[in-house]
Amino acid sequence: MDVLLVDDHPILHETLRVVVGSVAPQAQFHGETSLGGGISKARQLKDLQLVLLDLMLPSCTGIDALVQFLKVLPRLRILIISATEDSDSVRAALDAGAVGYLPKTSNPKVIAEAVHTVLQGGTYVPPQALGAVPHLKTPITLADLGITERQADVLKLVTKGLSNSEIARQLSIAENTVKQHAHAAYRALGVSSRTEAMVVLAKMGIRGDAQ
Amino acid sequence: MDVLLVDDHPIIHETLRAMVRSLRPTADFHSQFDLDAGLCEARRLERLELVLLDLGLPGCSGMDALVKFRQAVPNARVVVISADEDHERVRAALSEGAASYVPKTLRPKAMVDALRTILDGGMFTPSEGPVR
Repeated sequence: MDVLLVDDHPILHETLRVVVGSVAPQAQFHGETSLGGGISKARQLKDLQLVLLDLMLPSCTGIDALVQFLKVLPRLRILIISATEDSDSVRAALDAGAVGYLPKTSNPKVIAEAVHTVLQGGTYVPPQALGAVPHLKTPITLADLGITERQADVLKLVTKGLSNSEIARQLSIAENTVKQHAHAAYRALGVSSRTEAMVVLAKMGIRGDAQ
Repeated sequence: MDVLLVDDHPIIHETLRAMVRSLRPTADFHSQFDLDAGLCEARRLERLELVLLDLGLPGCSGMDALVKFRQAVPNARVVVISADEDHERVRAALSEGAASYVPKTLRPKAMVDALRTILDGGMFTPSEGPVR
């Protein structure tokens, strides 16, 4: 299993290597300091499970780096590590296809937790991003919101980052049915997009891989 | 000897602590994550010889943090550690009394060499490397 870090501060590579090693001892850790180097390396690696990507690389700003990576390798799981942590940036990154967002102010324990979550197939949303979402009274389950079991199944796979056709295959239902379930679930959650759904579910403590 | 690192990214602290301790095993390495806590700690430490200071601390602009540290602990050397390598910024920091300027883009070996130079009493700046 390969994990790739793309960050232009080599000083971070050392610590992140150790942090990733603590949650995934079997992983081979690779570090690159530029976008070009990162994409090139990503193409070469045989079993790339995760990319940790800094948004502040010298050659590009904002989520450009993320967009370029996904253009070349659309199925890549990319966890953003960034010095900016406002909820707009977090949402933009998740909307563009990142599986998580880690502010650089996170301590190593939180980083380890986030890496573990995304390696398990989940999505990591930092607490700082949750302020943008309407408050829910806790504790509350999906059933409380009127979401059926089937809609919940679809919702959980959506937040794992699966496409509609992948969900359809996995649940053995038609793609149109997936869309209907997803939209019904979004309505019940009071959201209108996959990203907002992820944030709400994270706030409710429901992970994509939880039962 | 006390060494104080003031930077709001905890992951930096792990690496720099390990590097400083490998060069000076008897040094006490202290970590703070914001300006006020950093200044407070700096004043408190009796054997403070070196402050490693990130200029990009939240709520600080330009050389503010550097100026404040120089005023608070005039007998300690304050070394700027920064993501910004701009020549003007380096010049400004040195003229405000920074003892050295270490860019965060240095590879680990170069970072250790820079710290070794600084701990040996020398000066390090990005374009020239160690200055004798």
